[in-house]
Amino acid sequence: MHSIDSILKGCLKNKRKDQKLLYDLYSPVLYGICIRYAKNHQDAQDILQEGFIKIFENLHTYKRKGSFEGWMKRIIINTALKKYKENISHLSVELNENESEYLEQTIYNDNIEIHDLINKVQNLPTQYRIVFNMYAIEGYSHKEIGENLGISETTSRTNYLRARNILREKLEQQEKVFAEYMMIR
Amino acid sequence: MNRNYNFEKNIRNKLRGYNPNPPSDVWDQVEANLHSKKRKHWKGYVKYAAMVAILIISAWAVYDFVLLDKTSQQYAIEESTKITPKVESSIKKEHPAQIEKDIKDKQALNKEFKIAEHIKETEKKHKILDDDDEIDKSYQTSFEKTEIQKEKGYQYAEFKTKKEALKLDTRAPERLNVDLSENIELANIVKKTVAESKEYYSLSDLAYSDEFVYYEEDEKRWSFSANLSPQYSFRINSSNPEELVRAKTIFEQNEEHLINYNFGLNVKYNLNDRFEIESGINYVRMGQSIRNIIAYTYESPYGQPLHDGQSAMTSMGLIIFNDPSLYFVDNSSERVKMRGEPVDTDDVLLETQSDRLNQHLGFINTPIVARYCIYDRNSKIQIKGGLGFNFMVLNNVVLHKDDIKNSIGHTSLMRNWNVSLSAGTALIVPLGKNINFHLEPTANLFVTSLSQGRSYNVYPFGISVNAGLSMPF
Repeated sequence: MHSIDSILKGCLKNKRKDQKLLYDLYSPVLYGICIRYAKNHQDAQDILQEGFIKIFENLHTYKRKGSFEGWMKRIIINTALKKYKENISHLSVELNENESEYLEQTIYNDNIEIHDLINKVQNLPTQYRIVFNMYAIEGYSHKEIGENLGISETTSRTNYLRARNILREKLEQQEKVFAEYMMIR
Repeated sequence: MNRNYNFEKNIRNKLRGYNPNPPSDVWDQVEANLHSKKRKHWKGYVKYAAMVAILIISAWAVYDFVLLDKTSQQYAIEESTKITPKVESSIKKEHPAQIEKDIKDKQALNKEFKIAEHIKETEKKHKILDDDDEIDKSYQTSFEKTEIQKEKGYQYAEFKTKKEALKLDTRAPERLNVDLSENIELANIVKKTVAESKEYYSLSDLAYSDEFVYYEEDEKRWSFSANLSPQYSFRINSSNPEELVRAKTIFEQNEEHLINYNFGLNVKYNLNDRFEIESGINYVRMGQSIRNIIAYTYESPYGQPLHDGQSAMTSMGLIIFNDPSLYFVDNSSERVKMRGEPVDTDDVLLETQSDRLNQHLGFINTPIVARYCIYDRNSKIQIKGGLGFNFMVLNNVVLHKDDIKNSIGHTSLMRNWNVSLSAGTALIVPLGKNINFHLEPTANLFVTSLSQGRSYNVYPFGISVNAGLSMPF
């Protein structure tokens, strides 16, 4: 059993075997992030590939203060943000009255399938998808998101709420039809 | 607010826990980009493959244009002496007399050339030494000249044919004996000419006579071909209802292409210089590979089978498993269903058999294909396209374990006959007088959905490089 320390030492010496071990160890977690940020699986693979190359090439800059996994996740997220940055709009968008009401009616749904969720997240407009990921999953504040993406805090908040409403609506609709479809015998 | 919190928490937990394995080729690409790039990904070889392809095509072009010089000269002569209806009518309108003369000249030149060629062939056949290489060369070259030089070419032709005639005359007795048995056509011509002119005769005179029609060979319009090819086969999914996007996603993630094969016998009919039509009978294997449905053998403590029957939904249709000694589990989604109540398998000893299922479909394909020749020298290049009618004759699902294959079911909810479109190119290289080699990259796509009774459409396709032989008759 290899320890993470010995793997990192090997990676710093550019040992291909250790690089592969590191990749095997963390690629599922990081690929999960890539899929959430990307608009399709091909993009996700591109982000993962580019991200891992950055990780290996910049490993010497990791100071071993804080989580190594967290350090890698930031590189992957930054790679994803860079890929989609030109799709980020700086214009502030206001919620209309109906959207606000709809938000309050959001219900708890425990039966959401992961594939549905991934698919729907990927199909969100790029800006909504990125804000949704950063806020709901990574736990960034709207202020931090605004600074990262160069948009206002209000825009970030509005993007997030719209993303959530779209997701909820699509998931409910799809769950119902899919259940009927898979019953064909 | 609590409801919103739960919704977010639920989504967050699910997404954070989603840690799928990336496709294996991602590591290949990462590795290829790192440092010394010791191992190149297959994409890196594409440029080399392209270079090799260019080299092969260039070599073939050199062979066809330069090395087969005589053929190209013959081609040039035939082309220059060809009288199209359009040219003929325009000439008749503007310069009737001139054109009529020109047409006669061209016809004469063409016939003379053919006579000279025929004489050469005869000499070769009877091993008569040809000491007229220089004359022969200038004679052929002269036929390549432009319109202005044709008169000179005609003089050469006349000189040549007269000379040949003289040679024929001096050797007439033995030639006649041989030619009568082996080349009846030429022998008849010579015999007739000798009979008509006892002192002196010229084959160039003969060229203007109607007797020379003997010389025209009937073109073989039919040909028979046999071909064989490995085939990349897969399918296109079309789930227009947005509600089926999830099903499509599951199928896309868990289904892969198969390498199959096809073979067949076809007959072609040559409509004219450019067009051919083709039909025949072919066997085409298509299908796909299903991933992440694991087959287990088991020892049931209940002393009875774990199920009354299982099935699995795939993009191509519903697989019905027919082996009760196997227990199938889908470890990625909900594709596997079971008749009756689900069984608790906690107490059951399961032994993994395989996670590789292949859906095989075999079709008898009857095509109607049109071919158009875009290049015709020594070799031919054609583009082709057409329709095919496909009747399903094989439907099975095969479980792979190591090198052992077991048929464990079939696929239902499929249409038994389908229409497909095909398109491709063909390179035809003559190997001999009556045999040609074909190389034909071809794509086939079903245009009727294979699925039946479902709101989900699937269109199989195949990409192949058919190699084969054809024989005119």
